[in-house]
Amino acid sequence: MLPAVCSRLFSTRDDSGRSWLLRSGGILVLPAILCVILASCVAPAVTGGSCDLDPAPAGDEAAIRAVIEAEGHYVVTQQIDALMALWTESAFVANAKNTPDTADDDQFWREKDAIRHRYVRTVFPGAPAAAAPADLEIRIDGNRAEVTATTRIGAEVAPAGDRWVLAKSGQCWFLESLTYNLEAQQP
Amino acid sequence: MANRTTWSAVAIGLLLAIGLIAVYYPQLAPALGSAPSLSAGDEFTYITDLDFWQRTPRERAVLATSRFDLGHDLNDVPMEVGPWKGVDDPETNREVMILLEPEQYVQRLYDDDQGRYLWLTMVGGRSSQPFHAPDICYDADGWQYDLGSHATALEDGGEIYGLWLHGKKLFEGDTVPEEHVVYYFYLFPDEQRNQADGIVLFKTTSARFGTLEETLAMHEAFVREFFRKAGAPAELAQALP
Repeated sequence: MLPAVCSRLFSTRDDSGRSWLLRSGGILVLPAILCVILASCVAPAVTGGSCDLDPAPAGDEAAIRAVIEAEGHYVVTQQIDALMALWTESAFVANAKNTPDTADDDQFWREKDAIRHRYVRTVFPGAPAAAAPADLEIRIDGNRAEVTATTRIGAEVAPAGDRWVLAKSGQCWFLESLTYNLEAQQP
Repeated sequence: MANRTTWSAVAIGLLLAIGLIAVYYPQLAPALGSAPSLSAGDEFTYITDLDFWQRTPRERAVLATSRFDLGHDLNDVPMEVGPWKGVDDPETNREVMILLEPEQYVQRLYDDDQGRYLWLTMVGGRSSQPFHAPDICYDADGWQYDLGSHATALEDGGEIYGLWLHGKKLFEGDTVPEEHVVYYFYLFPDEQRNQADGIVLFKTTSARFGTLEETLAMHEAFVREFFRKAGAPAELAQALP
């Protein structure tokens, strides 16, 4: 059946010598377009980070703010896949352990598998009822941004204790790192 | 004319059908029963993952060289694999058993021909209780640690993922901190991952030999002795005889 159709498509010619395929080009465009449209429906879209948020934030600063707020929201609702979509592959989380001037004692969760593990095994079991960042200080430098924030996780308040670094890929902002417990311990 | 119209309709119909099949085959295949799946009956085939609570993107099907399920005695896992020779090194801290209440708990000390050593701990259970993430315990005991993931490439293809922990603690009277490198993952008997069917934690622990990367390479070489091939569950099922 198929060879016969192909034979008709490519060899049948009319009196002018034009192939049936060429004459039928207009008709064939439609199914071709349909195929492309169908394929694009299931093709993975390059999204993530701020581009996945609803409503889509307008402008860099709004997108950065929205990503950080979404992180807090997804922590409370324990939506691990949505959380992970906010982070870059090479991201890290660091616990500065309240000694911001001493890097030796910092504790790292490197890359997304470890960050996921931290959420699931350390953050979620605490069942935070609210994790809203406040007092955001945003500094944008091209496709990178640094944000200092005060985080409130339930009753715990860390004034200027968090430093977020975000990176822009395409039109989307992603979390690249979080360093927390940056507030120095009082003697 | 009518003949040409018929051919046009046939050609358009065929193109549409081919396009639809090409686009939707991945979604339709399981429903059509054409994607094989792994089951508990498959010999030495397990599901590995970094976590037992939820599937992660690192979930893999793996072909093992030993039995790692609660239908079998974990003590039957070989004492000698490649250059490694093991001896039983049972957990002596009774609190561990009281706290975890594992169905099976096997701990061994293996060493290789280069004088390196590591502990293999296999913990089996049918609930979440026996499976405390190692970092929780290290944290509670005052260790400083970093955490990440590492892929173990297998001899016959594919890779499985484990989480690593690099812990340091300065004990009283010591001038140099003690260091531990831990590498672990979970094994399930089938894709359903029902806790009641049993979960096995496969964990290796050693001192640091060379750099962290060199130490992880040693753990990887050890793990490779027990697992041959990995892939997506359907892929591996397809490859099974």
